[in-house]
Parts: sequence; C-alpha cells; structure tokens
Amino acid sequence: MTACGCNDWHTTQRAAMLRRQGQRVPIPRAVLEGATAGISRRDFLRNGAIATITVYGASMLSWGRIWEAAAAQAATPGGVTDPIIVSIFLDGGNDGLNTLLPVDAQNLAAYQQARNYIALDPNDCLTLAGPAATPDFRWNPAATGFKQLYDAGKMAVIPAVDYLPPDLSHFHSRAFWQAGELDPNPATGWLGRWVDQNGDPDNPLQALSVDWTLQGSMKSAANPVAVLTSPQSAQYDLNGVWTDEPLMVQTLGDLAQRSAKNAPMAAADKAVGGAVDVANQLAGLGSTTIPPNGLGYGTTGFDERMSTLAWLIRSNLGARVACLSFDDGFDFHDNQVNRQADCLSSLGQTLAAFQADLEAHGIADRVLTMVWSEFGRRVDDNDSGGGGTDHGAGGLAMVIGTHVKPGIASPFPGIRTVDLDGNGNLKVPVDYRQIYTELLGNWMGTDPAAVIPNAASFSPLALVA
Amino acid sequence: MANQYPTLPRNSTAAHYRRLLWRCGFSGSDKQISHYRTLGLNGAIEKLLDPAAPARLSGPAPRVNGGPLDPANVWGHDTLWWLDRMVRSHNQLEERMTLNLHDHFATSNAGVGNIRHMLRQNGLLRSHAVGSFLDLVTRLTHDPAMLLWLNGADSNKWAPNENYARELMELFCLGNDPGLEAATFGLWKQSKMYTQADIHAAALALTGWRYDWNNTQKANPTFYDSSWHATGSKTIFGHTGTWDWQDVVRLVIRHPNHAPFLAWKLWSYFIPTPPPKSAMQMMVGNYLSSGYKLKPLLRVILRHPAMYQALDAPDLVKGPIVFVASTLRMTGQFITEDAWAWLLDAMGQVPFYPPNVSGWDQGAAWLNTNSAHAYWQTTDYLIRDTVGDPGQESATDAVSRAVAALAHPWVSNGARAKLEGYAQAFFDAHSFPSNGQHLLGSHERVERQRVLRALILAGPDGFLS
Repeated sequence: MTACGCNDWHTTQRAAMLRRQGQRVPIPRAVLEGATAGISRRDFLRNGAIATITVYGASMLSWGRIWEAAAAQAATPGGVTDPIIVSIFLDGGNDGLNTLLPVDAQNLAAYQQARNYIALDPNDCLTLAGPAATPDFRWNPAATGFKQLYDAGKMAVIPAVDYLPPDLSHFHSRAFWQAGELDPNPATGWLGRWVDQNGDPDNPLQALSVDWTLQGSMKSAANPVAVLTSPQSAQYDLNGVWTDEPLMVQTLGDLAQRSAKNAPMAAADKAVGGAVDVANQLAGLGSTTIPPNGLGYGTTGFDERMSTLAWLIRSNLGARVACLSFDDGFDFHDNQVNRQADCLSSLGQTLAAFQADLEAHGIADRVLTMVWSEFGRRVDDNDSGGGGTDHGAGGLAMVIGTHVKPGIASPFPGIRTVDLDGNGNLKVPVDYRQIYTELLGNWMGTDPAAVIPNAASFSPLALVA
Repeated sequence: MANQYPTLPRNSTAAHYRRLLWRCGFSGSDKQISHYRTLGLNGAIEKLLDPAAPARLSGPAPRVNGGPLDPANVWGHDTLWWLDRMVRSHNQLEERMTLNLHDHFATSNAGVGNIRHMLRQNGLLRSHAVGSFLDLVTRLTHDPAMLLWLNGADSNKWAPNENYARELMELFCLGNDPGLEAATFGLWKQSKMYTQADIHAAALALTGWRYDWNNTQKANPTFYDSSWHATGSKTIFGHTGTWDWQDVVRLVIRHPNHAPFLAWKLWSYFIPTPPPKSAMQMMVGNYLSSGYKLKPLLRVILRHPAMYQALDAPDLVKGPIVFVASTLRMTGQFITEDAWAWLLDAMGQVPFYPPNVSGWDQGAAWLNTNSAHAYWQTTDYLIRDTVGDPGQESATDAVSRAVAALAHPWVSNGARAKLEGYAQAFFDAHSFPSNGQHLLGSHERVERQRVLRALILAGPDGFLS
C-alpha cells in the first residue's frame, strides 16, 4: 500500500546496521550476565565474550583498556549515583495533536473542524489524572502506557516544541535536534559533546546507542561512544577451508596493517582489521534472557533494546547517556489513525515497562527518559489513504522519570486558525534547546553552555523536580 | 557556447582503463581493458556514453531453481533480475547510471508495494541514464511507483499532499544544504533556496494525478483528472501563474540551484573527492546549454584528470551491489541461484529497497567491521563453485593464478607480497616430502587457491575501485 518514502527506512534497519562506520568489540560474558557486583578487573578480562558493541570515536582502544575503564568506573564510590539521560527518537514527525488531544471547548471545536478524516472522538480518549490532572487534554485511546506514566506523576509533557523558523524537512529537523544547534551538517551531536566535555576518555559504554546505527545526537569528537548490536557470530571461515584457517585469518589481518595512501583505504584497513580482531577475541556465543518476564515488556525489537539498556544501566558500567530510535516511523502522510495507534500503543507499553524495570532494580532515580520527534504535523489533515497529515511545526515531547516535575510543562499555543502561523502550523512557544539546557544543567549538573551553542538564550524549561 | 571539456591525459595505461571501467560499470577485466584500449581513452569514453538500444546481453539467461526468473512474483527475483543485467549488459555505464539514479530518486518497494511498478520505473531510469534529465523528471512525476511512494496519488485540490513537492526540491533537484554554496563555488546559492510556501504552491500545482485502485495490476493505473487539479493561481519561486504539474517540473529544473546541485551530486558517484571549480563550471555550463542532458555533464566527469588520479591508490568504495555484480563478472559467473538476494540484504543494500527517500549512504559508510564481515561471507558464496585443482604450483604462481582467475583486479604491491607470504607459509607448513621434493596434497592445493581469492576479493583492497 502507499506510504511515505521517508517513513519506510525501518524496513531495512537490519541491513542498515551492517554498514555503519565503527569498530566492533566483544562484551565479556560476565558483563552480559550482569555479574558485575564485585567483579574484579581480571574477571572482566578473563571471561569469554558473548556479544559485541561497535565503538565510535575511540580510534585504537584495546579491549582490555575498555573493560578496565568500565570496571574502574563501576568500582568508583558514587559512580553508581550519576544521573543518566535516555533519548528516544520517534522518527518521521509524530502527530502531537492526535497523540495528546486539546479538549478545552475552543480548541476541541477547532480540532474537529480542522481534522475531517482523522479526528479522534474525545469520548474515546484517555483522561490525564493523578497529581498533575488536567481537563484540557486527553491521550490517544491507544496511549495507555502514556496515561499510566502520566497519572503516576512520572511524566512531563511539552505539547508544542520546535525552533524558529520551523523547517519542515525531516533531514534538517532531525539534524538540528540531534546537533543541538541549527546546523544541517553537524560534526557532533549534543550528547556527544556532553560526553566530550564530561565523559571518560576510555569507556565507550558511557554513551550507548542501543540501536542499529549511531544516532547523530551521540556523535562525539574525542571520547568514545558505542553501538550495541545483538549477539551474533563474527568468526571468519570459508567453505572448504580447514587445513589452515588460522593462517587465513592471520593473513587477512596482516593485509590491513599498512600505511594507507588515502582516507578510504585507511577506513577499509580499519574495518577489515577490526573485524579480524573481533573474530579473534570472540569466544563461545551465549544467549541472555532479554527482555525479562513480569515487567510488562512486549515482544518487539524496541522492547528488547530497551530492556537491554535497562540491564546495561544496572550493570554499572558507567552509562550516562543513551539513544534509541523507535522501531517504526511516524511519517503518516496517509492512513494515519490505525498506524499511529499501533505505534503509540507499543511505545507506551515499552516506556511503562522500562520505567517499571528501572524501579524494580532501584535505579529509577538516576534516569530521565526524553521522547522526541523531529517535528509535529499540519493542523489540517488530508484524505490521503483514509486520512493523513503533512509535515508541521510544534511537535510533542515528553520527559519521563521519578524526578520529573509532572504535568503539562509548557504553553499550548492553540489550534484555532487565528492561533496558527502563516502556514497552518502550530506556533512554537518552546525551543527544543530549552529542554536540553534543563537536562544538562539541572539534571546532569553540568554547564549547558559548554554543550549548546548560545545556551544562555535558551532558558531552561522547568522539567526536573 | 560550445560545450567545454577537460583535456584527457596524453598517455594512458591499462590502469586508466581499469579505473574507467570499474567506475562506469561493474568491474573491468583484463580482456575488456585490452578491448577498450584499442579505442583510445577518448573512444572508450564515447563508447560508454553511447549505449546501444536495446542493450546487448551476453551469456546465458538467468535460471534459478530450474526455471527462469519471475521478478514480479517471487521474492528476491527482482534483485536477481537487475543483477543479471549488471552482469550481462554491454551497456555498462547505462546500467551503473541506472543504479546511481535509483539511489538518487530512491523509490522503495517497501512503500510502493508493487514490483511491476518498480520495474517500470527501473526501465524509465535506464532509458534516461545518459539522456535528458528534464524528460526523466517529467516522467517520474507521474510514474506510478513515484506517485505511490511520495503520495502524489493521494494528493488533490481538496487536500494537497506536500511529500513529492518537498522531495522534488530537497532531494531530487535543488538541494537545501547550505554547505553546497561553498562546495559549488557559489554556483548554488543559499539566497535562492525554496521556501515552505514554494513547496505548498507546488503541491497544489501538482494535483490532478490519480491512481486507479481497482486496476492495480495494469501496467500503468495512473491517470490525470483535471477535476482533481487545483486550478487557481500559485506563486512558485516568485513566479505567479495557474501552474500545473508540468509547470512545476519546468520551474524546478530552471531554478538556478538545480544545475549546480545535480552536477555536484552526479560527480560524487564517480569521484569521491569534491569537484574543482573548473569542473563545476563545465558540468553546469554543458548541462544548461544542452537543455538539461546528462551526457555532456557526465563526459566532463569521465574526462576529468581527477578521475585518473592516484591510479595505484583507488578511493571509490564499492557498495554491496557493485561488489556482488562485479565479482560475478570477474569470476565469469551468471545468475544461477538466489543466494545473492539475501546476501545483499545481509550486506545492507537491496535494490528496489533503498533505506529512505535520500537513498543509500555512500562511501565510507560501507566500511565498518560489520560490513567487512558481511563482504567476506558473500565472497565465500561468490567463489564457492569457481575453484578447481591448480596442481602443484609455486607460491608466486599461486598468487598469479588467483589474480588471473579474478580477471586481474587491482591488487596493491604490498598486498601481493603478503599474499605470496601466505602461499609460501602455507606450503612450508602443509607440504610433504615425496621423491626428493615437497608437494601439497590435492585438498591443500585447492584450499590455498580458495583462500588467496577470498583475500583478494574481501581483503581491504577489494573494497576500493
């Protein structure tokens, strides 16, 4: 069926994971089994590896040094109370209006007038109850996980966030959000710069993309960050070769050892050499029970990655920032209602389970989870394939955790025609960098100005309690 | 003004032709190189730029699982169908440009859901591979796959959908990266960038095309319905009129940022270092004076000294499709099994399924430890049935035989020495004395050949052309 081009890139995400620049290194078995309490450095180095991470930014770290750094960090007193930011990207531009309906009389009337094809019935929608109860909004009926978190006082909602002037290109907006500045070709991401400023020069596990690729937000200039891929074989073999496989693998590694004549050649050497190193390091593969039972996780890849992340955080390996993309895209130019409901239902379930997971392991007080999308959608809908929306401004973001100031955290600009900008989009009362300065300053306890250009002009939005 | 072209190097060696054939097609065997050398470099370029119609295909037609391919109905046969053309077509540049244009217009069957439409679009790209870009964009604008992919088929005067209008400007024709201004020496201008108002007006003007959902198996179920077209006056790039879809194409192609954007992009498919100013000027000048034809633009690229720089240090990375098609040609194989379809999936590049509307990442994106292993795995399949018993041979002869069996690809001197080192070390470890001399057993003789060929193909040199 028809779908927007920019929405379908997840269909080949398995493929995409195979073609990113980075170095794959093994994770010792002890690490993945969570046996890090009291683990010695020697244990780290001795145990066989059962999964791999791909390390970016650290050109030539040895495995031993990486795991020593992780072990050292785990053993540091106070190292296990450091705050953590988890950033979750909803790719494609989620429609905030159909996620969180404005149901005050004026806006509801305007909503029903603007949305001829995809308007939700407010009677089916979910109330916002609990300590920050409000009659002004209701959740999409599928967003039961959001309601659970909100009603428990663990969610702050930013209902219309963007930058000025809004650029409705996926690629620009995504790049801007990831960079923390309005630069479409950023060299680093905002969390990557935080890692460069505040992180460890040796421990890639401080910054985790539990994802197919390295999210732009985490691109660092100096300190290492990592991509975690699922456990898989990385051994080198060849059909019909058994007399001397070690000599084959050794020669392949040798071929990569030379002074390269240009950058692509150096990259090819590094890729082949790194792959051979990994093959040599990997011992027997095992499997882990992720996601664990009883916490409410679903069965999607996103559930698996989020529970992997919860597990890595509680393993005290020095994780401080993490990035993930949701499995599916939100670019619903057509056939929106059902597709968005599926996404919101699944996303909400996973977020609630992730929070429950953190709480069950006593680490919830260390983690804030930010959920964002590159923009919102047009207020007026269209009738493409049963109803969809074009790119718009003023998207919806959420911050989740036990330390959030619960409730609607910023003004809603309104959707009556007179309230909109000249292009039929929401006005932008909050810049996305006001979320960043709040999280960097009041949550991480670091100087936002060292990470966000011109930080002083983005006054922190009160989100952290 | 007459078209301007760079002067070709006075003396050309086999290495010049190898470079040209590898970048304008799918490998250049020693046989092809000697054939093209008889034409001279100018003649070789002109032959590549002048494809016969229809293309001559040499070698046996594909047969998989005992029958011919059924690309419209059987999984993976679409991939195999195109791969076969890459392997057998005498119009190598036409086929390579079709792949480049597929990357550029990045339509995915993940959104189209109709492989017949994808194959139709593929034919459209092929027929314009070195032809009129204006005509290509005109036809693509109402091409059934494109109308489904970017929601043109859902767009109408009551609810215009901006998806195609936006990508027509952003990704296909004009670009929106401010860095282009410096990269094109000011030929592309940020001050001339399109606006959201231009996108919306163009979306309105493009309305009228429809898709007959009751006849999806027709070769072309699209039709123009003027009652769906927004007839009013629109302003696009400052030009006001009652524009329709053809006017949009005309206005976009005549936009001053179009020619420099396209020239800069097409150059990157052949030469990974940025074009110098004189080349940019020639490409843009020739393209405009020819009425938006690709051939005079491509001729600048193929004749440019940058194309023949550092012939012993190739720097263009082979993507997975190029790697597989080339290796089949190098080893004299044809499409006889369907493994290539899933191997390309594992390598991260499935034709007809680009990851998003901006196509595949190029260049160094293919060089990482994950892909290094995937290329090796594919190489294992690619040479599986091609290695016979070489008999007793010296280490030097073994390497020469392996290079020859692959039709003499580029192998760096350093790599050659290491391969000979492998062959000798293998012999020293596994030969046995017999009648006063040392011999290798029959399995060992084959194993050594097999390993040498895999090391040439999937060692670091194998990633570059």
